[in-house]
Amino acid sequence: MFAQVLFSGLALGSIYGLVALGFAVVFKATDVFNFAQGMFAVCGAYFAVTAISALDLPFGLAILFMIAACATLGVLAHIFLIQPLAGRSMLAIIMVTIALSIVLRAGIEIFYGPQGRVLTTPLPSGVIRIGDLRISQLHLIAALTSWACMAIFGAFFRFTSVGLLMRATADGHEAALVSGVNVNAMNRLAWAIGAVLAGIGGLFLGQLQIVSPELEAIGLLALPAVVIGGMQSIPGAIIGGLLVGLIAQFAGSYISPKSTDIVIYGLLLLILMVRPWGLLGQRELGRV
Amino acid sequence: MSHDTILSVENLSVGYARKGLALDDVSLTVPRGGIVALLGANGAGKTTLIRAISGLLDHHHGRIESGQVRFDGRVVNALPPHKRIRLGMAQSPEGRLIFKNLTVEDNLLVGAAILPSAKRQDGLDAVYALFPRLKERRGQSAGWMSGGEQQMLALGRALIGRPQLLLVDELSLGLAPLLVRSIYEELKKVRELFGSSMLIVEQNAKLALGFAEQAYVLDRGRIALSGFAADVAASTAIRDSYLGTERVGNEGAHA
Repeated sequence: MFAQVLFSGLALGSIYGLVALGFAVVFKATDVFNFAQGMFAVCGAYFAVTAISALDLPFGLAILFMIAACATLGVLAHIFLIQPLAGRSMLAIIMVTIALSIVLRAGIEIFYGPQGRVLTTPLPSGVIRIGDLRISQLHLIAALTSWACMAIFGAFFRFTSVGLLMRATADGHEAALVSGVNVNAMNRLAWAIGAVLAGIGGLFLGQLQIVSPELEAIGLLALPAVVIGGMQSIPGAIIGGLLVGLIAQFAGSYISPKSTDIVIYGLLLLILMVRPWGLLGQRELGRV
Repeated sequence: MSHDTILSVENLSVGYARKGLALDDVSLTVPRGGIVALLGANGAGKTTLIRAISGLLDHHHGRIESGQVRFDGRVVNALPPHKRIRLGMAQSPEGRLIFKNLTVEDNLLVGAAILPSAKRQDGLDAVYALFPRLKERRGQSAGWMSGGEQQMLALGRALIGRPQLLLVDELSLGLAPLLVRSIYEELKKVRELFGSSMLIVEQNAKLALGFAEQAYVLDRGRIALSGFAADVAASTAIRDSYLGTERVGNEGAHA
């Protein structure tokens, strides 16, 4: 049983890590604690449902549609909600992201109805048996895709010129402005990336369960993941996601299915008390 | 306006939200290839003027109430900072504002991003030739460097695009006088190499007046005095106020 729980914990944790990575990219770039990240994941799942069931697009095109729609959603959120509030208190901006998630949920329920939708994709849904261990192909693909996305975005930030400008913007907005960086464009790009990563995570969550607004609660596990891993750390978000996935599965299997939230948020509280900058975050670097 | 002028500030008034005017009808010109010093006490409006020129007022909730900033013949009031930099302006800001978590070389590469990719290595080489210390430290996180090295980095990041106009705000802040002198020597080389014009904000008036050809003195948002640097240095008003020879104890004298 241990290996089985370990596998599903890692697989789910990879998806949480992906959503958390998107959250961390937005937070690092624009200092916005985006409570709508869970709803962005739900939107991704519904965009996929729309593309596959309503528009009848082939799977590859449907994925592209979902990515484009999520990116647009992120950019619009930044232009119309975040940018006008530049310089306002963090609380005002947090309230706006909470409002955004409520509005998105209501919009989905009006448009698609409150009942869940089944996401039918050509992804394999079989099981690979290795001894006692049953490996769901879908879990495996979700995990591998998540890791591929994390690697691609990691390489993008580390090795490309635009990635460098995004890291510079995250380091300091005014410093980026005086250096000739188009800070607004970089911030929009960060919101697009954040929403796309959430959307891909939402696609897999919807595929593993059923597509409904209730997926938001799972998408929001990205928040404890990011805080545990370290708000300012990109690898921290991924590690935090994996930890949350593992904790959820182990607590669910060995203690009680209802205990997972208690254990996750208990760890969150512990981290905030003893190491508020998170496992991989660092305290403010450098001299003044 | 003359072809020989790279920057002209014309009757500029600037205000910040819920405060009075920070600049009141300020005019100033920087000749092409010239070095101009901008002097004044704390709070006189020097940094506000630099922000109005580089386009950073928005970021500080300030705005131009009237007048204009003309760069290379073109009114740039409405242009965001990144577009002004692409026109050939660059800034070494007050407090340096380097990217603390990036390496020295990455800091410079951010400044080089306005260049076509084939020219970025040349830009790096040119900056490393001016400030060899930056080359030694290129892999280091910028936040861990000394104040002098950070100042060199801020200048290098501004210079890597070979700007036509370099704005330098409070270069000497917190640095040893000897180091400040050597950095100014490098700036002289920059003008010879790149032909850049410069507008220098400096607390140390004596130093700035020795370096610049022309000077303006700001006093509470207005230009109080301007002219050739030597004449400004000789004026009793500036000596009393900023060179610190003898502080006149009459607070109401300017009012």
